[in-house]
This record gives sequence, C-alpha cells and structure tokens, in this order.
Amino acid sequence: MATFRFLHCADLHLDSPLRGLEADPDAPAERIRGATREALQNLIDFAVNEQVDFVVAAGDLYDGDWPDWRTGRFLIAQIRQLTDAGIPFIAIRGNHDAESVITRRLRMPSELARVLDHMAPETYRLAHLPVSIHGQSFATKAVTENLALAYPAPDPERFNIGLLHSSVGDREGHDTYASCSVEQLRTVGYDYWALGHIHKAEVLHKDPWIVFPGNLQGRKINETGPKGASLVTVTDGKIVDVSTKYFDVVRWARIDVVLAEEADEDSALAQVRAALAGELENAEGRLLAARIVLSGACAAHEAFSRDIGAAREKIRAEALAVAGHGTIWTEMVDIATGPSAAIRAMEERQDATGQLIRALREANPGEITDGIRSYANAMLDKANPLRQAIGAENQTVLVAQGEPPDHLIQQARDLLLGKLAV
Amino acid sequence: MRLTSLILNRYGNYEAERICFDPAPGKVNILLAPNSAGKSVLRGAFVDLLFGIHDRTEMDFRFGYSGMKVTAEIVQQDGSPTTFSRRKTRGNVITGPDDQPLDPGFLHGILGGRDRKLLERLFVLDTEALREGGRALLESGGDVASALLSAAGGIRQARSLKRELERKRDELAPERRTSSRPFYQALDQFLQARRLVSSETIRPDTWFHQQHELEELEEHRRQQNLAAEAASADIARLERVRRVRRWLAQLVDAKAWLETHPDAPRLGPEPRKALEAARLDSATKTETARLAAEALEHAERNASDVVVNTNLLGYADQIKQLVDEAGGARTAQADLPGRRAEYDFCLARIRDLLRQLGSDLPPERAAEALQTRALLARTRQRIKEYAELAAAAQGAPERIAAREHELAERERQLAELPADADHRILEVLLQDIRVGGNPATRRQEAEKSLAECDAALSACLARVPSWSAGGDALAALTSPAIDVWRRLDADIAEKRAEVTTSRERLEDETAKLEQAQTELATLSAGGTIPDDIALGRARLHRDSGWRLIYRRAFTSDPPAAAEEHEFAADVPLPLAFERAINEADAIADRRAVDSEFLGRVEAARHAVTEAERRTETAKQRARLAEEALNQTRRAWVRLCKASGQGEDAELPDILTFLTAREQVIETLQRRSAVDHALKSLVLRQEEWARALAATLGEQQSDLGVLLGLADRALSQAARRRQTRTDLETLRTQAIRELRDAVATQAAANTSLEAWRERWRGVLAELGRPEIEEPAETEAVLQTIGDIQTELRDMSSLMERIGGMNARIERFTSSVQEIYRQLPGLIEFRDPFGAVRELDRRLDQERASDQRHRILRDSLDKARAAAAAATQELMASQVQLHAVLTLIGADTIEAAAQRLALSDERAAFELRRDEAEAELRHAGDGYSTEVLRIEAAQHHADEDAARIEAASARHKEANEAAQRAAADASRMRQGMDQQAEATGVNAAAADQQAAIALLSRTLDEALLYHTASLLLSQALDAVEQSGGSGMLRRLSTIFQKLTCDLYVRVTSEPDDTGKADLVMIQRDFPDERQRIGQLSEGTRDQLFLALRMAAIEDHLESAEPLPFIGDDILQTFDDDRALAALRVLSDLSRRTQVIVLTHHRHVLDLADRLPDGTLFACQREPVATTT
Repeated sequence: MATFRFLHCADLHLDSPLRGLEADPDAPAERIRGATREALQNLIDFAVNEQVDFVVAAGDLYDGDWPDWRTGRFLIAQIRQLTDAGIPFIAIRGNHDAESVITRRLRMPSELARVLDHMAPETYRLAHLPVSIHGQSFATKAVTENLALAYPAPDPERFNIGLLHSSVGDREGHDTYASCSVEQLRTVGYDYWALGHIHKAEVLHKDPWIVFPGNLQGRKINETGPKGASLVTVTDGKIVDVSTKYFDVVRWARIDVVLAEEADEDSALAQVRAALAGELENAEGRLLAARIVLSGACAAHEAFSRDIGAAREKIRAEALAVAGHGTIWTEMVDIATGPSAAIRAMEERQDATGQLIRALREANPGEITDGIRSYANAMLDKANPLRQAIGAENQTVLVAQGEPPDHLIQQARDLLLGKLAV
Repeated sequence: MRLTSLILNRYGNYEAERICFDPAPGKVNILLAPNSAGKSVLRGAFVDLLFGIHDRTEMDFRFGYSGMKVTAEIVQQDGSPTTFSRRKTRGNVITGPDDQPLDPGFLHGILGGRDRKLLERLFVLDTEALREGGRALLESGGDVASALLSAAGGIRQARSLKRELERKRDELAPERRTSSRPFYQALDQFLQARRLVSSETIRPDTWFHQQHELEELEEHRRQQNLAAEAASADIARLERVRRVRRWLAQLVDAKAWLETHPDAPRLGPEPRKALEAARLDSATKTETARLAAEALEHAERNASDVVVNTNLLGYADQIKQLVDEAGGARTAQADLPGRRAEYDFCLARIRDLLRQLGSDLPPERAAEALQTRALLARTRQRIKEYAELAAAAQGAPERIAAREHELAERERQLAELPADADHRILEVLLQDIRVGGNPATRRQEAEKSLAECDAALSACLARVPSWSAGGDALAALTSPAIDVWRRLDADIAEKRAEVTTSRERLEDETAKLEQAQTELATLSAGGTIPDDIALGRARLHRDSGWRLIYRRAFTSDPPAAAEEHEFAADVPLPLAFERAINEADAIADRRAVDSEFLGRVEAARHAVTEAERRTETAKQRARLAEEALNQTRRAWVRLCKASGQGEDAELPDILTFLTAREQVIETLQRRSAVDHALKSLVLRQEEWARALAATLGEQQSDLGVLLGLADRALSQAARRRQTRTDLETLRTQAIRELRDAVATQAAANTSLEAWRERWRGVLAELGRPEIEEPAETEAVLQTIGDIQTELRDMSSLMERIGGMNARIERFTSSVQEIYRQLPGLIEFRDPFGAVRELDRRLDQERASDQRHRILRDSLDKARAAAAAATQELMASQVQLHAVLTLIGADTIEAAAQRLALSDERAAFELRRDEAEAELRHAGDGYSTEVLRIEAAQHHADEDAARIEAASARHKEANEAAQRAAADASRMRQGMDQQAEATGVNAAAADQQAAIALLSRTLDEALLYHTASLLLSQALDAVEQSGGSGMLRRLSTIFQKLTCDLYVRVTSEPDDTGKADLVMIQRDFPDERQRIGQLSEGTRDQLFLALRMAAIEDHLESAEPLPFIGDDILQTFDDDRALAALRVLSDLSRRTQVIVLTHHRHVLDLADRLPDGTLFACQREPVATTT
C-alpha cells in the first residue's frame, strides 16, 4: 500500500457571521463578512494544490438556522473544485446542519462527493485507494444516542476511517451530542476517527488516532487561536503524520493585560502595546480580532474611571496605532481594573472622603438590586428579540433574569473609588 | 503640631526670613502683609514642608532652585520642641537641626496618613476657596450630605458625581426612547439588519422553483429552434426549385439544336478577327498613301514665301536690358529736382544755427564749431544736479517754520489740559458690582429666568394629562412608584393574555366538541346498528321461545296457549322459535360484521364525552381568568383614581403623567431657587446703589443710573488721560521733526556750494561766460544738438543726388551705342522713345523667325510620310490573301457565311454549358436528375406561395425561440445576481455588530446606573451618620459668626424627602431660610462654620495641624469679622490658627479680643544658608 494523504476538517459554519464585533469603519468589513468562506477556499486551494487524495468533513458545514441558499450554492461550488480535480469529498451532517432547509435541497456535484446517510451508518469505499470511510449523519438536531455503537466493523485490508459528529463525553461550552467515550471509539478497530463538533483542536488518542481538528475559522472570542484542519499522511496503511494546517483568515485573540499596583495609564498603554505586538506576530498577517482585558489593582484605575468610554477609545486607538489599519479589529476593551492600594487606603482617612468610601463599602446590595433589575428589564423590553439576540451570557440579561448583581456592584464600587480619588 | 516659626530660605520671594508664631493654645496668630508680600507663598511653603517640594516648583522665580529650603520650629503634641527642614534636593529629604536626615517615620507621626490633598482642602482656606464653598452650598440646594462633604474635605460634589453617572447612563441608554442615543441607534440598526436578513435571504424552495421555471423555458426554446430549423430546410428546398427551373429548360433547348446541326464548323473567334483586321488594314493603307502625296506638295509651296532680319535678332539681349533699365533712369530723372531743393534748405538751416552760436563758419565747416560728446554729457549732468540741490536748499526754511509752529501748538494744548482725578475707589466699587456681569442684565436674566420658570411650569402643567388643580397640588399628590404601575400593568397584560389563551382554548375545545358531535352524527346517519340492548332483547326472546318448547317437549308443565300465543302469535311455536333464533343470530352477525363501525361510533361517542368535559374545564378556566383580570383591573382603576387619572388610563398614559409630574416638581423647585436668587440679587443691588451714590456724591438711588454716572466719570477721566498721552507723543514727534529739518537745510547749502565750483570748470571747457546760469547753458546745448542733426541730414542728401545723376548718364550712353551698331534705324532725341522703338522692332522679327522654322519642319515630315505609306500598302494586301485561305473561302463574302454558322454552334454550346454550371451552383449539390424530379413535384406558379408559407412558419418558431431565450437569459441573469449578492451576509454582519454595540452599551449604562444607586445609598448613609453631631456644632459656630442673627442650623426633609439644611433667624423663629435665600456673605460664613465644624470633627480622631486662613475675613463686615476672630480663637484651643491678611483693620479688630489672644506675627531676616 503506497502513501496517501487526506484532509480532515469540521465545523465550517459557512456564512455564520463573526460575533461580538462592533461596526468599525476602519476595519476590512468584507474580509470579515466572508471569513468563513475564505477559510474554506483556503482549504480547497490547499487540497487541490497539494493534491491530497481525499477530504473528509465531520459535520456542521453551515448553521441550521441559516436558510440562505447562496450558502449551499457556494459550498457546492467549492466541492466541485475538489471533484473536478479528482479529489473525493465525504461528509456527514452534524447537529447544526441536520435540520437545515439547505441540507434537504443540497445535491452533490459529482459521484466523488457524498454526504453519508442519516438513517444508519454508511460505508463509502474509495475506488482509487483501499480506504473505507464509515459515518452517519445526524437525522435531527438533537441526536443524543451513541451513534458510534452501530458503526460497522472495519473492512479488512483497508484503511478505515470513522466519521463522527460527537462531543465525546461532556465538554465545557458545547452541548452533548452522540455521546460516546474514547474507549468505545478505540475498540471499534478503525485506524482514524475524524471527529467534529468541538471547535478546539485536540488529539484524544493516538493509534488509533481520534482527532478533533477544531473549526475552520473562529467566529467569536471564545474561539481564539489558530484554526484549520488536520492533514493526515498514511504510508502502508499506517498513519505516519497528523499535522494541523491553518486556513483561518481572521485570528481571534484575548489579550489579558494584568497591571501592577504602580502601573499608571501610560504604563498600561505600554503593556497593551507589547501584548498586542505579540498577538499580531502570532496572527502572521491575518486580521486580528482582539478582546483587550485589563485587570489588576493599579494606579491607572483612577484615570480609567474618570471616563471609561474615553479610556476604551484610547486603548482602541492605541491598538490601531500598533497594528495599523486593516490588521486589527478590537472586539472589546474590558477594563476590569481595581483601585490601587493608595485609593483603597482612602477608606482609612478621617475625612469626608474616607467616610463616603466606607459608606460605599458598607452599602447593602439588596437595597439597590430592584433598581438595577428594573432598569435592566426596562431596557431589554425595548424590543422583543433583544434578550435572545444579546444572549444569556450578557451581564444585563443575567441581572434582569434575577442573577445577583454582586459582580456588577463591585465594578460600580471600583468605578466610584476611582472617581472619588480624582 | 504647632508652629513656633517658619524659616524660608530662597523660597519664592523670601530670600532668608523667619516668621514667628505663638504656638500657645488660645492664640490667634495674625500676619499682616500687603498684597504681593508673599502670603500665598508662605501657605505653599508650609504645605511643601510637610509633603515635599515639587521637582518643578514655581517657587524658584527669584532665586532658582539652589539653596531653596523651608525650616519649621514646632512644638509637638507632647509639648516637646523640634526643628526640621525640607531642602529642594534630589529625594526631598527631611533633615533635623544638624542637617542630618530624620527618620522617615517622623513626619508620619505628625501627619497620621493625611496627604497633601487633605491638608490643602481641610486646613487651608483662602478667599477664593471660601467663596467657592459658598457657591457650592448654593448649588447643592441645601443638600446636607453634599454640604458636609464639600465643607469637610473638599471632595467633588458627590451629588454632582451622581448626576454625572446618571448623565453618562442616559447618554448611552436612557429609559425614555431617544433616537440619538447609542443604545437606540444600535437597536434600530439591529432591527433593520434583522429585517434585511429576512428579506434578502434566498430560500432553497424559491431557488429551485426559479430553476425549474428556467429549465422549462430552455426546453421551450429548444423545441422552437427545432421547428425553425425544419421550416428553414423547407424554405431552402423551395428556393432551390425556384432557382433551377430556367436552367433546366435552357439545357434542354441547347442540346436539341446541337443534335440537328452536326456539320456546323468550330472556327472560333480568331479567323473572324483576322479577316476583319486584314480587310480594314488594306483599305486604310491605300487612303494613307494618297493623303501623304498631297501634303508634300502643299509644304513645298509654303516654305518658299517667308524672309527673316537676323542682324536685329543678334542684339535682342542688349535691347531687353535697356528696356529694364529705362524705368529706374526715368524715376531718377523725376526725383532729382526735389532732392536738390532739400539739400539747399539744410545748408540754410545750418548757417542760421551757426549764427545763433555766434559763429561765421560756412555750413560745410559747421563741425568745427561743435564740442566733444563727453563734454556735452558732463555739462548735462551738472545741470541736472543743480535742479535737485537748488530745490532742497530753497524748501528748507519753509519746513523749519512749519515744524516750529506745530511744536508751539502741542505745547499750548498740553498746557490747557486739566489735571487727572483719582477714581481708584470708584473703580474698585464698580469691579465688585460687576463681578458676575452687568447688574441690570443679571437682574433681567434673573427675572427672565423666573418668567421662564413660570412659563415652563405652565407648559409642564399643560403636559400633565387630565390635570387642572395646579402644580402644588400635583406635587402633593401621592402616586405609587413607577415599578408598582409597571408590575400592575404587567399583571394585567399577563392576565389578559391568560384570558385570551383560555378563550382560545375554549373556542378550540368547543370546535373539537362540535367536530366530534358532527362525526358522531355522521356515523349515526350511516345506518342504525342494533345495539347491545337490541341483541339482548332478541336473545331473551329466543331463550323464552326455547323455554316454551322445552316445557312443552321435555317437562310436564307445557305452556298455556295464551303463553304460546304471546310468543308465537299466529305461527306455530317451532317456527316462531326458529324465527327468534334467526333474528338473534342476524343481530349478532350484523354486530359482528359492523364491529369496526361500531368501534368508531363508540370512539366518537367517547370523544364527544371527552370534548364536553374539556370544554367545561376550559369554560371554568376562562371564567377564572376573567375574574382575575377584572380584579387586577379594578386595582388599576383604584390607583388611577388615586392619582387623578381616568379609569381608562393605560401604562403609557401613567408614564406620561408621572414623567410630566416629575417635570412639574423639578420646575417648581427650580422656580423656587430662581425666585430666592432674584430677591437676593435685588437686595445686593440696593446696597451697591447706596455705596455708589455716596462715592459719586449723588442723591440718585437707581443703580443703573448711578452705574451710568460712574461709567461716564471713569470714561471722561480715561479720555483725558488718553488725550494727554496722545499730545505728549505728538509734541515729542514735532521736536524730532524740527531737528531733522534744520539738519537738512545745512546739508543742502553745503552741497550747492560744491556744485558751483564744479560748474565753473565746465563753463570754462565750453568756452562760455563764467557767470552763465545752467538754464542759459542748457539752451546752447540744445542749439548744438540741432546743428548735429542738420549735418547728418545734409550728408545723406548729397549721397542720394550723386547716385541719381550717374544712373541717367549710364542709360543714355547705352542707347547711343546700340544705334551706332544697327545701321538703318531712325535718329532719336529722347533715349526712352528710342528704346521703346527698338523693343517693338525686335518683337516683329522674332515672330517671322518662328514661322519660318515651322514650315521647314513640315516639309521634311511630308516627304518621309509619303514614302512610308506606299510600302505599308503592299504588305497589307499580302496578309489579306493568307486569311481567306485559312477560312476556306475564295472571297471575303464566302468567308463571312462560314463564320456565321460557326458562331451559332458556339452560342448553343455556351448555353448548354452555362445551364449545367448554374445547376451545379444553384442545386445545392443535387444531381440534375434529382433537381428535375424536385421541380416536377409542383408547378412553378406555386413556388412563391409555398416559400412564403414556410417563411412564416420559420419566423414564428424563430421568434418564439428568441423570446424563450431572452426570458431564460433574464431569469438566469437575475438568479446569478441573486446568487452573487452578498447583502444578506452584510446584513447578518451588521446585525451582529449592532448586537455587540447593544451589549456593550447596555453593560456600560447598567454599570453607571448601579454606581449611581450605590453612591446615592452611600450619601444617605453619610448624611445620617454625620448629621447630628456636626450639625449641632455647625449651628453653634454659625450663630457666633452671624452675631446671633441666626440661632440655629438644622436639617429638614424637603418635598422629595431629601434632608435639606435650613437656617432659623433669632427674630423669626417660625420661618425657615434655605441656602438659596442667604446673602452671599452669609453663605460664606455658613461655609466657614461648616469647615470649622469639619476640622473639629476631624481632630476628634487625628493629630492637630495648623489651620491657615488667607484673607478669609475679606467679605465680612466688622462685627462678623470680630465674631469670626472669636470663633478662630475658640478653634485655636484645639489647633493652631494662623490668619494671613493685608487688611490692617483685621489687626485692629483682633485687638478687641480678650487680652493675650492676639499674636501679631513678626518677620525677621536671618542669615542665608546655602
């Protein structure tokens, strides 16, 4: 058996917009809008140029609630490039694209492209290589049963790949679908399990290989770092290399800047610059979508508290100055600094400031919780879809739903300390 | 700590000075120093001593940084004396008396953690801070917490901070919809993007529907194209038939003639051409020979008649040259007299000019009387210099006189100006009055503000729905909080929704019931199926028959006839029994057969029962929901009535009402403050009017008039000062100009004398009299110039006259020479006439010579032509004979007959060939036989109609195909555009961007909202904790400061429930004065009292530090200033008090304090240390 190579990708989420980015007239909007498409194009170009032998996709090619047919049309056009080059494309549907209206209408452009059946596990045997690909698409969005249990036994004398969309146990930040265990997969006897669903790349096991390639393009701040697909090289029926190829065009990064006690505003900005420079280098020329989080009890807190909005804009401008136009999009500037020891010491003073600060510390959160919640609800009621759109993780939504606003009150207390110190 | 002395070395304007203080408790230290003497510097030095001298302190303005040092001699809390210094060096260390650094904890023990900010804000007070504090109290509106905080630490107004937080929140996301705010902008963007995503999306079904339509269009186009192709083929065939018909006929005709004339010769065109050419050539050559003989004879005759004069023709070139020269000679002869006259005039003019110079030389020698060019130029330069020097010397005395006159005038005007008056007091008073702007304007603005408040109040009241009882009543109205209204409204909405839901459920259940009933009825209508009862009854009937038979057959108790009759009626019992069995079996069979149907009926019945039960439950729930709704609604109506609102008021109405009510209350409060401010302003302006009247010595009491008078007085004084300054400037200028004029005159005279010396030299060179003036010499120079011009003209005229004479003489001699060489010509007198005659004769001879040459040429040509014609005639006759032999004829006529037959054969062969070629060309490759068969299928007359019909079919199919293609193209284009459009992706991205902005804006606004609530709670806590003790002390101090005019300061809740400072006057114990109603000075005293109380409060838990008051009594009248000094004396028992002032009367007032209270601080020089 000679050497062959294949690409394993998953969770393309085509045309799913990047989330959390405010409008920025200086940023390359078209590039960001088309990021998921461009990432797929990069993959296809790589596959064609490098002449890989086939490509497998482990589900979630697009979002289920995205009904625009153009997405399906684009996908087909891309797959056609592969099949025109004689590269088979085998995919399964995941929880996102199982019920998609696009899925029901999608027709593959060639016999070389195939979406495996959703009623039962199906085996696709490549004609030009001794490779069998076993897989089962999701029939509905919520498939909780362990699909892997019903996968067929490996074909003898062939290289066997299991294509599966599953969380493989419970994983933080992801719903549990088609749950199974590494042990269960390992014992099926396949050579390679091409998994999908988890957006962070991870190798769960070697020999047999059980691999999550991660998603092809990060779409929000909790999908940071490089994104791409796994390139698997097989020689004489044995995997000799599994490497990751990065195809993303927008790189997400969370830049945590922890400020020391004595750090003033200039020092904070200098730290932001330094941290940004590192991330920009890591992005290797890609557009960087960055969340800058400043934390720590520091002298700069006083200046930040004076005008949080202005401080944010200053940091955004700093980021733009370091990165240059078209290379960064500051998703959010989170100023979570605390008052420095000097400001906190004001509490000990025997004057009115100290008295007021002590009163702030001793304030009873319960007495203002209703007022906070009332405002949150009033604002969220301004439009019906607002709560759902902003998302359950948003602080205002949490407070409105009855979550104790302790963290918020602490933030407010820190803000006031900074302002009173001015 | 208490200061014994403060020593300043090279600090600010102090070089080396000690200021001594008395550290004893109960002492008020007063340092009297004029303005700019360094009071503020002293204050700064004290603070720098404790907290360090700034790296870039401004106190280096006189001595620089070197040697800057502040030293304090103090008494510590335990009574021990200590000395320490602060030197401006790197590190700013504290040193002891021996200049050695002290323990870093030394100052900490004194300061106890207090920082520079605290010291400056609590223990140091100057006029500006006092006035600022008074204003802050006014702006706080009497808010106790704000007042305490402001006075006790100088932190920014906490209520302002709260307002700032609320403003920031509302700038981002106010609760009331404001389109310009980021939250609402983002919300609108979000909703718009959401709509756009929905509208821009292409659904797969839509796409495939379009694709199906496109495929149908393509199929239709293909069908029509096929039809068009068929029609096109038909047309081609018919056109071919029409094209070939005539060629088929021609081919038949030609073949027929050729078959009937097999002997016709094939001579071709060459013999015919040769015969015709030979015949024509022979005739032509005969005629040519005859004409050549005639021409020879005629030429010989003409050549002998012509004679030519060759002698005259030999001089043709000379004669032509004379003709050319005759024009120039004639012109010279005509101009010569005029030039000679001009020459004579020139001579006369020169002679005249020489006489003017006093010379007797003839004109021809006039050059001898002229000077050199250099001398003449020098003379002109001297004359020009003289004009400028003479003008300068002549104008100088006049300018000197004018400057002297102007100087005298300025001196006189200055002497007449009155002396300046001193208006400094008036200026100071006016400055005080106008602090804050024009009094009249301020009053107008205050009145306008009051009017605006009234108008705003009316407007606000007008905006309150269904309210006519006035603002106070509205403010007094008790209305539940907005949250209560919202909750109730939400309850109503929820219950209303429940009612709707329960009604919908009831309708749904009722519909289901009706459906079930209908189904049951439908099933029942399908036929009656015997039920269980009927079956049981039949079986019972059967069994009773069996019992009768059994009794009759097997027992001794046979049935009676009546019993049998009852069962069997008129039939025999067995038969009746059999019928009964059959009937029961039939019913059972029927039920068995229709068991499914029966099941359905049963199920329908069950469904009806179930639906009835559910309908009843739904009715019950609907009734309960309506009752709950009515109950909540009644509570709403009760609240509406309590708030003065109608029963039908909705939440937006209530929100409008509450918002409007809040605006009314705010406006009422604002009006009250404005009203107080106006009254206070009126009182102050009356005081100012009295002071102004006294200063101006006027009886007038109107402030505006008095201000006008004061302005006029100040303006007149200012004008006088300006006039004096202007006149002094002009006087200085006049003196300077006079000096300049005298100097100019002297210089001009010196220059003129030097010129005269040079002028005499020039006159000597010219040979002019020594005393000749430049003007006379200038006339002589002019005459010399004229002579030079005339000499140049004369010379030119002489040259021209000589040339003209020479030309005439050359021409005349040439003519004479020709005449000598051509004998036989007529004698002449006028050479010009002779030349004209020669020219005419020459033309005649040239014409004769030309004619003679032509005739000789003609004769030669005629001879040659006659010989050639004879020879060609003989050759032509030989050629003709040869051609006849070739044709096979003896004569020309026989040859013509044979040629005609040959031509006819060739024509038919040509027609045959042409027909065959055309058939090959027009027959589309078909053979002649096939074409003939096609043509024979229909008559030629039908060709056009058949082609027209086929064309119509073709056109119709073609147009249909084109329409289908266009439709398909449009559709494909539309689909391509749709597919390429990225609007939906852009909208989705915009939607996410709006969500991100919404999320951030909401979080930030919520943070500000939370901070505002938290701060509000803290302020309430401060107010409650700090109010009682400090207020009592404040009350006592204020009473002292106002000389018992005010006896109490306390806090009372205002209309909103917020604690407010109120002051009670001794004479009006029932009235409450608020801060806005105090005069500015009294407000200052209230602030001083607050500060004192705050310091006392602070000292309860901290080491004392000196209190430094810098001119804080400036705005106090004498009584209150003395009262303040007494209060400061009290304070000095707790901590050292140092008062800096530039008013001596403060020191005088302090003298009235009990003996030993006042310590007048002394300043003494000390040795400079570096």
